Amino acid sequence: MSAMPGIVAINTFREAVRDRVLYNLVLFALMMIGAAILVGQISIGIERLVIVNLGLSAISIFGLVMAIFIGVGLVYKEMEKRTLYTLLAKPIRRSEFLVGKYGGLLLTLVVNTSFMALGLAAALYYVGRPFVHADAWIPVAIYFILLQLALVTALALFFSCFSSPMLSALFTLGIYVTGVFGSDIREFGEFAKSPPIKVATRIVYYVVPNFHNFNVIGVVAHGEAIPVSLIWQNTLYAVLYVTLVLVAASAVFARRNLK
Amino acid sequence: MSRSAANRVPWSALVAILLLFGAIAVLQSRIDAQTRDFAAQKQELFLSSPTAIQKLSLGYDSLLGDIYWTRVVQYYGSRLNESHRNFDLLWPLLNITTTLDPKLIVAYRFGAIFLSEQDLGADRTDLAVKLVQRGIQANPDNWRLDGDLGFLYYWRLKDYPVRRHG
Repeated sequence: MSAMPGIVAINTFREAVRDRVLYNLVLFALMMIGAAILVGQISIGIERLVIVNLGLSAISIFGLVMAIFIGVGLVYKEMEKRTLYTLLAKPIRRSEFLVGKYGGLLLTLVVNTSFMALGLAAALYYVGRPFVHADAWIPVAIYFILLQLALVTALALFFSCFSSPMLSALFTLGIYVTGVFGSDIREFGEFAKSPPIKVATRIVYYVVPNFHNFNVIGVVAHGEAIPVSLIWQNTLYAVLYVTLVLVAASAVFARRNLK
Repeated sequence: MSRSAANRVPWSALVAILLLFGAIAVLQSRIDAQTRDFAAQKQELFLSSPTAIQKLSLGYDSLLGDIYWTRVVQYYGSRLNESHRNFDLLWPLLNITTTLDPKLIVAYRFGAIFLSEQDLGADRTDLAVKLVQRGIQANPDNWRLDGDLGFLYYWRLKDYPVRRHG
């Protein structure tokens, strides 16, 4: 593959920074400072727990909002502004353009998440407790959040290839919520007496990305260890699923009539 | 518009915003004064099923557990100042908290105190025992919870044999 996706990715990242996407970091910082000061006053014994839970949940929610709402406009915006035609006139394949756009948003999310992780570390330091061995699992939880965001970004980009931003956001959000409830859907099938329902729920369980796999916030907040096998399994799961979605997006985008 | 006029516009807007915020604050304090009693009586749980709340949390159950625990502390503290203490919501709130985050040890330990206290609590040692037993089931390695259960049987229920063999 040529250097084109890298160039598109860097420019997508620059565009996001120019659009003041990273301003959400200010809100995150204010929230963490507020929580660090306030929680000790209104609750009992959960200062550190709240900082970890709130910090990781905020990283996840902010990232999700960014991945969905920027992701759904990645291709649509280029078509709407007609900049895509200028781009595709250059020696760049449509699939390379998509991979570049995906990489650019992912880079934005990684930078954003890294700054929020630093903010979380600072808030933990502020609540007056030195870092302990159990805190070493917090970066793993952040890594899992990034894997989850990589998946959501790929889905948003896929829908962005053939649908309007509004509908794409709804589809992506719908798949995310279904993915969170994946194990419940399979359980419903187990309770059902009808074999077709059992089969259908099982198919949904395996087809829809299982976002529940990546949620270790509660475990990490209580200082419990994450099995190493889960780290590589989740990494492999995200890589396989993202590849699958990007291949599907490329196939759809390649057939798209841009005239 | 002259340059000086252009410079005046943001200042007048700023003053207007501050005045409007001041008026809103005064109005809100009047509304609060009128509805204070009503709000105190009306405190209730709109969602009482811990499992439903857990599902609706979309995976952020641990954070929601912390929020519910803070609500337990606030609820208990606010009831202590009342002449006719009523702790009806204490058990449902603790039930939700410990379902959302079964590892939140502090909720079992302090929750048991809030529930079992006779004068300063709900005087429901049976529910306190239930709460601590649930905590032991979810956290079998935490010896402090066994100690708390022993305390409840020994001092509150005066049931000495149960704790000796328990």
